[in-house]
Amino acid sequence: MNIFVRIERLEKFQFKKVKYFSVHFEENEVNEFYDFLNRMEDLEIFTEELSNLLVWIEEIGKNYGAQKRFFRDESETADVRALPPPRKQMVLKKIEVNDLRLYCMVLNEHVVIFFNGGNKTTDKAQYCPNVAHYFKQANQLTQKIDQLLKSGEIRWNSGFTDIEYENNLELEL
Amino acid sequence: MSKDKTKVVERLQSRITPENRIFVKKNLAISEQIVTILKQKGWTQKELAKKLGKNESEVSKLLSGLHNLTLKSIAKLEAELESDIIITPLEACEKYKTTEYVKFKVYVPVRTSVDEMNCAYVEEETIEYQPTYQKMII
Repeated sequence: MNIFVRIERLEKFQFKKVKYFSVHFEENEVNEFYDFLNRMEDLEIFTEELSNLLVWIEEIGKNYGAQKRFFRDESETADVRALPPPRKQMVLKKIEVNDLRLYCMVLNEHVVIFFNGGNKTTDKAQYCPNVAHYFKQANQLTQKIDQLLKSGEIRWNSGFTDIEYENNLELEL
Repeated sequence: MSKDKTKVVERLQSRITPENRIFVKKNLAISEQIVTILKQKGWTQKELAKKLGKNESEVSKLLSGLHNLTLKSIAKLEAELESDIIITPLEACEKYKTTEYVKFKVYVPVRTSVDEMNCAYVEEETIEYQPTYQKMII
């Protein structure tokens, strides 16, 4: 069964240097970033990590921009990057706070799309019962969004500081 | 009672303490300082990792702004970089007390009359801003 997903601007996370987005699965009440926060909110071990993460998102957004060093590569198909792609390929990134993982896509220093994540308990995300599903999903979403950028369905504004797309734009997983 | 999933950000934001803010701000400032020193030295993160005896992945964690840096790891970084990364206000006072200040004379163009476009260069300190004199932006 196909799942439809739309890109959602995170209104509470729009800062001078970074605009944050998430993706919203049509059958879900909230977007994936909010779902991640709701699930992690109940885990006492991550109280500190979540607070730090929210401050970090705000600080990066206000003062630093989404610089490369703040995000780490996390691509299931990492070897693809060794091949010469026709055009620069977007890869899945992760934000790491101790064992907490939040998968995301960094379009440039000004636009970041948050996916989902969780408590990673194994060395490889692919084998972790908590994050494997979100990891795989985030990889698929990254590829789909990259295609939409290439096709022009997601467009840059003139200063490359924000993205534009039709309200009814949906991705199909 | 089930929680309102759409209000999660408000709930989490209400838990943020001043300590969380200080931790993240200082962490990011340290990361920025390390990156600046690396640029000045022309070193890559890979080279730094090699000097620290760590792998690149560990160095990228240190620079993420979310890693809990210990004083020991900062000391190790300062030793390898041969440069201060953090400095206390007292140390800063001591360090910059000896800074030499150089005085410059600044000459600015001013209009010498309201009607004419004649312009003269006048030492800024000597300008008396009378109604007939106006600063002219060039």
